[in-house]
Amino acid sequence: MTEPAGEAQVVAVGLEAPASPRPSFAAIFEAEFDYVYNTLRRFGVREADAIDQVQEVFIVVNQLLPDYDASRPIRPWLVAIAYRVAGRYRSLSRNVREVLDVTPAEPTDTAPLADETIERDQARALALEAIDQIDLPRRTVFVLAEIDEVPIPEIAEALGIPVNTAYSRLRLAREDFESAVRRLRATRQHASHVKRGAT
Amino acid sequence: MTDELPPELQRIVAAERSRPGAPGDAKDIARARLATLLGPAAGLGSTSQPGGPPVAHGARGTGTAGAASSAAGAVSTGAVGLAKLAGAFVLGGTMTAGALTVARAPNPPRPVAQLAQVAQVASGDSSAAAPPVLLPDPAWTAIPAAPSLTASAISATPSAPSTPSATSHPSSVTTSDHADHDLASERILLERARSALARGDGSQALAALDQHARSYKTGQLAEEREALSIQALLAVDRQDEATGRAARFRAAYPHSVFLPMIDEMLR
Repeated sequence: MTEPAGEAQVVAVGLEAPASPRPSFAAIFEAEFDYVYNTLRRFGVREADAIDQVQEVFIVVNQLLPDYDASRPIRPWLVAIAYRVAGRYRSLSRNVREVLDVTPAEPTDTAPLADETIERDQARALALEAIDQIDLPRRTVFVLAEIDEVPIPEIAEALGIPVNTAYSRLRLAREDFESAVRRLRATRQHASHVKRGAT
Repeated sequence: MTDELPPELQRIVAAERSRPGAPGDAKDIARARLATLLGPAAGLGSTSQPGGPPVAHGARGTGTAGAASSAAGAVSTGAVGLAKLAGAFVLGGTMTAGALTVARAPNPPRPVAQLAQVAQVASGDSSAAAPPVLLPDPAWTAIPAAPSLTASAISATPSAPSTPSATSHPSSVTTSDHADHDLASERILLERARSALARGDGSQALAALDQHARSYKTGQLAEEREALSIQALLAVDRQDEATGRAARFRAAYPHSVFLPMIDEMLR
């Protein structure tokens, strides 16, 4: 899969114009499974439930594929579906409780010994936890804009919201994210100090 | 902070952006489940040559790693997983919410007499259980029209009900294409119910099962539907209805593989 580059990356599926052939369900599954998986994790789906929820997404994809406009990028479309699936998942009190019961990443007291991999893993854990603290509608814009680097107009179109609303959500989500990172770091530093004190 | 994240946070986001994909054999498991649920029309039986044109992401970011490249290596394990999972449908699989697990043999051809019995079970339940009617999920209506994600598209899933009446022979079963389509649609509904049960959402499960009963009263998966219905009724604390339905199920399917599980649930 060749990644599109630059701002003019949003092209029709396939090369023929003007009618873009619609990718098959199997092609979408093979190409986008990991993307859907990670997106659902960013939307607060626990790892233990992720396969079930990915399955839910692709069942919907299969149902709605005949209506998919192949001239449009697939990922925002998938995110719109994943957003609904994750929203339903999180609406259940059982899952809300479990989502909030995130196991915190290891305190950073291994920093002096950390190699690049550990640092990256810790950064990912921190990012996922911070993202989980953003309100879901804002988070959807944040994930699409900051993680997937989808242009705001595309996000607005995919989510069916005005462009200004998308910008506003992104701005608020960035503030939420920054606050969450700061808060989580403070919590981990405190936990690290307590742990050192106990030993 | 409005235009972009500070550099330090950008580094954190960049790390998240490079998050690897699903762990282990998650993709194989999902592929096998979906192949079972959706049938051959989904084209998931083999991963070596997925049909259709390539998929354009529509974003600069990589998001995930190795999505397409994992396909080739998954061919053999995917086929094995498919074989393993083909017979473990509806009540089987890896439910995450503690739902009971019962593996069953691959669907055998059901004699007409058995289909009629299923019809009796279903019709007998329709008045007693009065399960909720499945309405289009309002949440889906908020998905924009650009990709045309509408509630009607969701609710229209079983577009070809298999039988117009409880007593008529489902002629579609003998027409392979039509039967495949019906079976795939049936599976989708029952999988929706199974997933709802796995989430602990008995009401949603009943809604999906009710839709199945209305669209595929004597469908190929009616037995599974009835077993799931008992489970769903228990999930919403409708014990008496579950007990009555279980009695009718026992009469209709005295040798069902689901009976031990049902007995266990009612104990």
